[in-house]
Amino acid sequence: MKHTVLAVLFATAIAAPAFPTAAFAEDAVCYNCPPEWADWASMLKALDEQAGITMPHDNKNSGQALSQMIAEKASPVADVAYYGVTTGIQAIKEGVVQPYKPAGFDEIPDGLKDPEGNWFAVHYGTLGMFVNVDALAGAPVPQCWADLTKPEYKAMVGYLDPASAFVGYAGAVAVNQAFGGDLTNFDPAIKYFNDLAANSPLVPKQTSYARVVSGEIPILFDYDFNAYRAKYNEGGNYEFVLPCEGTIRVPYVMSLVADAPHAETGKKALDFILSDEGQAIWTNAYLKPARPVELPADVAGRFLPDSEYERAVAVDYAAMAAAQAAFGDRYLSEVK
Amino acid sequence: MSSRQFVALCLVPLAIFALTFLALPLVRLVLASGEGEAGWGIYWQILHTPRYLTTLVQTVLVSVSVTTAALAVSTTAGLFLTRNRFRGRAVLLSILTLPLAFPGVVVGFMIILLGGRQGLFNTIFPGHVVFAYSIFGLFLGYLYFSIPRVLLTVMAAAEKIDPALEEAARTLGAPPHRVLRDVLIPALAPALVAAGAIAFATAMGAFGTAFTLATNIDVLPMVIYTEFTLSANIAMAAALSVLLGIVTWGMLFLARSFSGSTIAAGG
Repeated sequence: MKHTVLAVLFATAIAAPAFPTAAFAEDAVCYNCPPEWADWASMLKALDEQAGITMPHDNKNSGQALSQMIAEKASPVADVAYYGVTTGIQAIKEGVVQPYKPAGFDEIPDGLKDPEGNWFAVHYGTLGMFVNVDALAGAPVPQCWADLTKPEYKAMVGYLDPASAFVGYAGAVAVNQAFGGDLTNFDPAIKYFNDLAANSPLVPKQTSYARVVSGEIPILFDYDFNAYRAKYNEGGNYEFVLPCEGTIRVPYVMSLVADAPHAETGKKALDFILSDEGQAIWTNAYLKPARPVELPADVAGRFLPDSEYERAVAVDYAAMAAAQAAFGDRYLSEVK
Repeated sequence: MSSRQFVALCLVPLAIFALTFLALPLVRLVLASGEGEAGWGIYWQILHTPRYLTTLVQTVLVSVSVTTAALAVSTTAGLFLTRNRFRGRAVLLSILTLPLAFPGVVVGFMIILLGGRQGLFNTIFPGHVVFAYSIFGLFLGYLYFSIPRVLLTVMAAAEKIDPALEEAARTLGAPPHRVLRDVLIPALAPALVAAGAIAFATAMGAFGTAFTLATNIDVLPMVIYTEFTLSANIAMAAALSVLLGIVTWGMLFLARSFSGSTIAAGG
């Protein structure tokens, strides 16, 4: 009798962790809300304090967020997702998002939203070079994409993997446009990356803000907002360079996930992000807001002059989305 | 209840565990690999894509070299530590087994601290001694967490070697390298194979270190990761995982069959 009781208790104790634990304290789940990117840390804090929504941060990149949403299609975990525009367009094809038009949706310019509301821009940035001047070991700050293949920048350049991160793909498109290619012809980009490969670049897969700030990667293909944040908030010498050959500007978008477990909270979160308060938080993080919200004067003064920004063009984001997978394959097989 | 029923009851948690975390996921993985567009032809596709084959070969080569190096280092250290008692021996032993505590990401981070752009070596020997992001950096990282796995097993086996055999060899005039080759290595062979197998399997599947060092290093776990995040190529990722498992199992089977049924020479 004693042995039976002990045995049953033992077996239950072993199996106990399998019983469902208490519900988590979060209100909504976001895929790809990394605190170190575009100052999501401040946005998540504002969501908590001003809208009463607890949303934990999430360190995926665009590709990983989409993959996980596809894998979880039968039983979604996320409520909202944030990713690059081409990933958003792909998400519609995969059927993992549902349309939702938050308040203020109509004020977003036409090219920056899906007409039905499956995705909409929350902010946009311009691609360029995020440079840690102190870590350049005396070399001059590069001004053009072509400068990066010069020997004085050996082992100093980094770019995120175009096959995995959206900012990587955006960098590839920017370089491609700058050297005369377009969305049907990626030869200039492949040639450029192969030339760059001779200079021992670093190719991380995830946000590498900290690596630039610490000097491990002195020059990174990144957005203006990450560079300005370092320049004005970190001690040290950082610059954002808009390359002389030209570049592209890119919106980052958000969607409501199809069959989201906390759809109402997700909608409230999206409403807040697109509201005046929400958009103002992006401007404090040097992001151009999607809705035409006035930039505070001191923030506007910290951007590079508009004459520089004329070299940044918009592209047909739908075409950019359509070409992404093929370019990813090409990059993986042709760039060594 | 009878003791047989009691034993059967104790096995129930093991059965639940083995089914939930071993058998069912493996079955699901194999099925997932066949759910892509190409169906079961995906394996044929893999064998015909040069990128996957070169990656597989590279992974096997890295793992084999790491295992060999780990065996060489750990056998030397293990034999020494078993036969000598000195002050600080316990501390040295615990330092050598410390890497077991670290996940792959931390090991990668340590390699960057050693050999990255701002690493120790580049500061001491200026002029771009940056090895962290090359295959050598990856090799060092893998070696670091493989050594403790081999060391403890080798030490346990070394303690069981009958010193009389070694002394007999020496009295018969054998130089040290012959003693090593003819007495010590055969005595340690089963332990070396067992420990080497663990080190090899760990190196084949290691992901965290390669992810942190994150450059153009192509090992199969990184390719599986890329396939999964490249528009969710789940079928391909599953197929590559199954292939990784089969290749690892095959290499281990080969190693096991070479070791035969030798029993450690001991008292």
